[in-house]
Amino acid sequence: MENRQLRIMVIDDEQIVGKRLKSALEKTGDIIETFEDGVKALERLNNHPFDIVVTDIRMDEIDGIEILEKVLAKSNQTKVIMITGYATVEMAREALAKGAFDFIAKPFKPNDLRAIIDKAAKELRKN
Amino acid sequence: MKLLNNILNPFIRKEKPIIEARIKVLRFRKFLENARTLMDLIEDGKEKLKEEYILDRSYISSLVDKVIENVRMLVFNACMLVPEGGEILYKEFDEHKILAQKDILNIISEKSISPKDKNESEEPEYRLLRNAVTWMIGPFSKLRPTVMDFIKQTFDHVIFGLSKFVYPQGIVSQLDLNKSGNDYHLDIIQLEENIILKNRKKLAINDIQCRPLGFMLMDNEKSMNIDTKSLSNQKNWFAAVSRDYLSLSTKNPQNIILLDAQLSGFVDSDFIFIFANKSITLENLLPKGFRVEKTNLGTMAWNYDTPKNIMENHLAYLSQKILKLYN
Repeated sequence: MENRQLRIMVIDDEQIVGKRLKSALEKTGDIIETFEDGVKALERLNNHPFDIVVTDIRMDEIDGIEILEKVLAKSNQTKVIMITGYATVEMAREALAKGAFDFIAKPFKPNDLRAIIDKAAKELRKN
Repeated sequence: MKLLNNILNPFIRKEKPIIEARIKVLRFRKFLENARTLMDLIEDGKEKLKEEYILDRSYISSLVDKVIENVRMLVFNACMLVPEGGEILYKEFDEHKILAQKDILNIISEKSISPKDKNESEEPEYRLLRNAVTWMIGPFSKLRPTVMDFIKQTFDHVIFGLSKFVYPQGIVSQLDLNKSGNDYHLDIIQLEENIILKNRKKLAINDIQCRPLGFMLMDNEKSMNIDTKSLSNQKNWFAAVSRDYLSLSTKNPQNIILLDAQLSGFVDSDFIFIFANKSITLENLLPKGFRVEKTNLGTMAWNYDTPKNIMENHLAYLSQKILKLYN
């Protein structure tokens, strides 16, 4: 995979997370789509492939683990990065065991997530 | 059973004062741990407000909950140490808790938070975090005490109360020494050894296996420029010691100096805490790197998250400045 724009999907039911991540991650020229609703995010994924999916673990309608499973079932090339909050470290471990690329705990700085995305992009380029 | 009681009672009677004294020192250490956790939580909230962090409401509610829980523990330990006036502390703690519930936690639990008005540019989560930090450290527009004000008030309650605590005669050992030409006298109890000290046993420096005190009593030739004239009639220090811990204090409520230090080699748990009342300008006695807070009674200073060798140097430096105040 050449050094091209990445298509990154961000899923978090907290509006502030998508809003802040979109503006921070777009600075490097990647294409960012944000969703507060996990179901709508999965519908979008069915029609459009994404290189990287960044998803919160704990959400009301559909949780991050289910999203991870569905994303990987559709394409095991996609790198899924989990966002964990307070008291969800156990779920993060479960996500890693199920094939998540990495996880990051809130609160975090966008640059910390960018470092993980860069690592994921390197992996994608290898394939 | 009666025979056993008869055998044990004299032992228990002799042990009781020393056990009470030990419990006070250990309880104060717990109190300091609560306070340190609170300082860290407050710093964390301040930092998250300054920087461009990705956070959500659960971070804010978790921060506020942790602060409430640690203040509750602080008040609990304060009341165990100095019961008189404890009901006032509990009443004020309740007021801070109610305020946090009303101004922060209730709003967080609402499903959607909207900006105050159309001109509000700050995101609602950051506005809530700002409210939480203001609740902790101010500034308030009205004359309303912050959590930090309350923490300081609780320290004053404890430190003034402890300064009046009289250690019973006969439970302490004594250490008289000369350091850099000055004579010092310390009454000492050991925190770990379960021994009854008969009368006022005289100790030598080598008898005391206490790392922090060891660094304080090391010879150091640096000059001391403290004006001790007004304090020269105070001679006694009280020290509670274990291998890694020192609790050193003067015995006079009019001139309070208190130093607690842990030196175990683990950066996460080691610290130096000093309190001095208003007759002493503590800031002038401290090495660099101490966090200083003023209270109504005096000044308190903390040093932690510092490598062991720097802590050791701090203690050696402080001994020149502080012991001499009451030599």
